Amino acid sequence: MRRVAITGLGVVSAIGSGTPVFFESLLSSRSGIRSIDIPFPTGTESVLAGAVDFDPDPHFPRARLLTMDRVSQFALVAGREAMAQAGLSDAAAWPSSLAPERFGVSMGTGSGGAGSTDVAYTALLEHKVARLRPMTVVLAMNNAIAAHVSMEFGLKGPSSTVSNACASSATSIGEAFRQIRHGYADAMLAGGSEALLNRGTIKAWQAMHTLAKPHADGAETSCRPFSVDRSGLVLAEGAAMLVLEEWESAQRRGASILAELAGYASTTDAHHLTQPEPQGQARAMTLALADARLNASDIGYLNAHGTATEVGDVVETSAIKLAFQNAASRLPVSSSKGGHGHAMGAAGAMEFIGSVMALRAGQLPPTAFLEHPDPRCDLDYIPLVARDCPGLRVIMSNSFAFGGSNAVLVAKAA
Amino acid sequence: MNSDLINLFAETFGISEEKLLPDATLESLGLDSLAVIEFLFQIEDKFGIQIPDQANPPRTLAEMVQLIEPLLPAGKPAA
Repeated sequence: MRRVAITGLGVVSAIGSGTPVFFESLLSSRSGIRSIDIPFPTGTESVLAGAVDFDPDPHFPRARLLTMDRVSQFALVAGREAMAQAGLSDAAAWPSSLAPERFGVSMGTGSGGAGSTDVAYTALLEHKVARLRPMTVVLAMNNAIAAHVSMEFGLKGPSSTVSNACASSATSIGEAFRQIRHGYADAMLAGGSEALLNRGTIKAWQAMHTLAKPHADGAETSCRPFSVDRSGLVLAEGAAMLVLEEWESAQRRGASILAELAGYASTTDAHHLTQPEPQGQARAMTLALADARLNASDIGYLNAHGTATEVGDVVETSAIKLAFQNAASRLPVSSSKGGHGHAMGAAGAMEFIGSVMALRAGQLPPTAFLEHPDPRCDLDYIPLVARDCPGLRVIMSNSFAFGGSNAVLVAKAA
Repeated sequence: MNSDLINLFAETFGISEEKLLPDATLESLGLDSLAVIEFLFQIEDKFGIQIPDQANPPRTLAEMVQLIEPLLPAGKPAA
């Protein structure tokens, strides 16, 4: 069976853009969450969000921006970083063994070009325009992100877009892994992007009653996974992209291999639209371990989905215990969402990149703001402070979604 | 060329006016066919005109100006 190397990483996030800055922020529990004023038709409201400080002008000519939603802009910036790290920015300089027809794109997104949809509906319903911008469809369509990425780098292999809510980009990475492992592609640019901080999407999420309230210690501390004083998740945006390559092909071209993507599994709860179920999550972890031909005790760090909703945190704790059995109590686990918020369709890729960085650095990102653990969340959740973990060999990253979709990725040190 | 249109073009696409020579192809200025459609739409909205569908869309800046200019309302400022 073909092995899969990770050779490039790229991140755009609320806690910084560029993988080194992102990882430094993870280790230091820096929060990118803040209160932003959103002008709803009924009045301006302060909304907690992990917004990305992003100016597209230095990255793209304006003619391109006319046809490119923010969600695609994020993906391209993260994709450029990943391709540059892999040494593949210039297709003309690729080795002849790496054919564009064998290099694909696998994207995850929850809401695609939701910002453009919101602008269109505002124009139609609030400003009562008779016609919409000609680019409305191509700005908003979910697979526009993959299309822009493929055109930017000339990638002509398989292309797909996964929309599995919060598990979208863990699934897109896993499916890209299978494309290479089973010989349909030799390389894939895989990950996810999300840009949903618009009025309609925020109102829809407010109506779900799962969003965090501002914490007394400051807006930036409001997302508190596994903490007894948690109050919910914080919507965030961003993108995260990885270059995946067939192992021997990467070695032959002299690529620097960052880690091995060793296992993936996807399961479905078939239980409830929003309530997670420990059995489905545990099955995903167990199957990902089996896929990587590893045992529970081999995992040295688990990045939890950990959204900071009560039901999510408690069910994930149960699921980890089910999957890891006796090894669960010794397993270091953390959620990084207290810093970057919940980047939805980009979350899985973002957190997997954080975990791959942890693997490389031998340092585990902590769970931010975990001062008062929920007694029902009684695993080693690495509170507040990063931990050295020399000799870390294998990591796992969990992503679970509304709709009951579960995706788990496992990576090994190169 | 109509200076109001050129100003608007320069502003929309962030291209300095010195580069906007009549024979410059829209492609060389970084516009693909969709960006041209989007620009024509903006012109229609701004001036309240309707640009007929083109069997052969404008290829150069001069061709684009020739297409739009006769349709502009007389004496109406273009920016």
